[in-house]
Amino acid sequence: MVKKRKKKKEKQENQNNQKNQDNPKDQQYSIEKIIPKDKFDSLIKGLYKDFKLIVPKEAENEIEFDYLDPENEKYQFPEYQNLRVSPKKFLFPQKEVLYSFEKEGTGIKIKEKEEKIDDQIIFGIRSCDARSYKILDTFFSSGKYSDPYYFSKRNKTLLIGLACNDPMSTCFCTSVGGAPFSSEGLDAILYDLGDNYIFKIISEKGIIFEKYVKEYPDVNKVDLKKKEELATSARGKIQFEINLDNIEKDLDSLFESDIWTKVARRCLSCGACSYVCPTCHCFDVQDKSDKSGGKRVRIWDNCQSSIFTLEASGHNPRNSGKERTRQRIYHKFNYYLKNYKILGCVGCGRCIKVCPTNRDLRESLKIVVETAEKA
Amino acid sequence: MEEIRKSLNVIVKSLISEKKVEYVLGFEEGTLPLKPVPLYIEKEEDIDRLIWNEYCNLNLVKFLLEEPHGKKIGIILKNCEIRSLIVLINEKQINREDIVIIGVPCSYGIIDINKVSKLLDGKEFTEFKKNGNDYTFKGVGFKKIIKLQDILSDSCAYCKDKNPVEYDYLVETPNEFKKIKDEDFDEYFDVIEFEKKTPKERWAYFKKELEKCTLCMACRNACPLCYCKLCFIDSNQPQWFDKTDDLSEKMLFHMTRAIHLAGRCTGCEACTRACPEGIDIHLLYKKLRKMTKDRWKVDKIELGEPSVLGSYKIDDPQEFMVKED
Repeated sequence: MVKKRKKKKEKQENQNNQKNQDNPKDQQYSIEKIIPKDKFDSLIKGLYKDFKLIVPKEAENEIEFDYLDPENEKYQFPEYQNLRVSPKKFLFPQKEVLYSFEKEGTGIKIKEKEEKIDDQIIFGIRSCDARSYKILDTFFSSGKYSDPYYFSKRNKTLLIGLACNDPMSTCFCTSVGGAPFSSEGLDAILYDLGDNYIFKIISEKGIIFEKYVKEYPDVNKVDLKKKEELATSARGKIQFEINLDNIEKDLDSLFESDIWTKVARRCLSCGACSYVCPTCHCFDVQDKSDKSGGKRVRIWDNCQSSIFTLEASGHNPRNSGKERTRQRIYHKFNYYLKNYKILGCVGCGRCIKVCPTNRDLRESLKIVVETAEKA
Repeated sequence: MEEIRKSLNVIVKSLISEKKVEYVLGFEEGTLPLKPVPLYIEKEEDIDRLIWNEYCNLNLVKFLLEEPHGKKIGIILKNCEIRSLIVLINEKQINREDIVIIGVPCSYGIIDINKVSKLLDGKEFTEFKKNGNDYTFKGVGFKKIIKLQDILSDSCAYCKDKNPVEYDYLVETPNEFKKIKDEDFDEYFDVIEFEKKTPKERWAYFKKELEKCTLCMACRNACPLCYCKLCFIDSNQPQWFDKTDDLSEKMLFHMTRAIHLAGRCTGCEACTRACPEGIDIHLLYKKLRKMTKDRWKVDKIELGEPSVLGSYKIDDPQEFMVKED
């Protein structure tokens, strides 16, 4: 690998870019409107004329992202901190048919996938999840080809965020370059001020929203001040902070360390963490067929499963939980930096919440950083 | 519970200080409320972190499977877990003499954190307080009191098998345990009620539950009795399972796992509590326990007794055989 190690200066810049950006560079559009909560439904109805809307909705026993039907339901955001399941599946579903095939005479006829994709908005997405799409975009467009299945949906999808007033106890976005009020990766963002929302356009693509919010008044200084206060208060609610500036280098020196035995000791090697992770993207491709034909499908895979790296010879380079746990951390906190110069984690804390044995990524990172410091 | 912890301290301390075991497996508090983690007590000073309560929700027997034969290990267990260890001993996976069992009589059972989460509509709680049977959960903008019986694991709610049947050390039962409700109910009450539903209703129930499955394998991997080196679901050659998340595949996985556990499952419900989707799968396993009880009069696994499906007796029920007149 030629560019194995980044130069110090480059690294500094990279980390400055990642560091807690409430206001990323591409944000030059001064459209900031005040939308009273009682007018919210008409904003939704306006957007629905041109876009399908994926919103946080009350479901059985929890709130989850789902398609909205504003003609039959009046919409307000339900109360939520962040959702147990990220909206990753709308662009990268657990199972996706790539194409189908059927027998025709002595040969085989291949049928391309026909998928009609409407313009859609993921509405009410939190800052961490919005950043996760940036990571997925990077991965699916890396190398020689970009992934048509992902981008056919991604290119039709806009993201309108809802800044996070109440981060959860497991959130650590500020340690991985995010912030509860970050607008990175979003096309527009809403700030909840209590009785009103501020609607702010962030990206160039987001200018399309101008016509839906034109009628509303511009923000004034009082609103902006309130927003700043909320941003500071939200940031203050994040309970865990760790300095990961040197994480790539730290991990470089710890591959053979015995910390991994300790970190992995309680791991059950299930895929719960990978499947709720908004940035985990590994997949497997399988044929589902019978005598007359079938289809080729792409399905989520996960690196914690023992067969993930099982080779045809029977050899398995990641035979135990130790290697697999190490892989998950290296992939997000070392290989990602090496390959794409970004971290592969957005600090949403879902893996911590979901783990049956309470294996806490924050604890693992602490062990890594502390061990590297001592060395 | 404090009484139990004190007794445990004494037992564990003697095991460690006299080097009778390499470590004792118990629980310590985790980083989240109601999420304790396995604690490996190797030194005396580790004992202070030991906890024992109604939310020690994993079956620690699972962690014994990774250890080599001949290694002496102590483990703190309730009876359903002791019975799962007995299955492993019966099936020659673990040597009885390697394990020092510290048996603890179970009081009410174990809290199912998935039930808590459902009753709180998925909201995060950061604090909880216990006051008798009332548990108060607090999070951002809410406070809710929930009764213990509403969040107990289902199998625990109907369990009558609370006293350790196999142990090296037995923790004394505190007085409060003796006050637990009169147990004049059928252990299989919930299965019997479920059996009254029509096949259509039962199918609808399992379909609704299993549709939530993401095939993450947390249930399988939390279960001490799922110890196959290569699970059928992971087999590539031949491939029994197409790995998609179609309902048919989810059903195939859960039904096959259930059948593999028939006559072996002891109802600890570690699988149900490990499920990140909160799927209620316990009825499937409990029904199989009831079937082995109804057919073979065996639903409790005893040390040295062969499993009902792994053995043959001349008087096994065989009503399917065609008899000559």
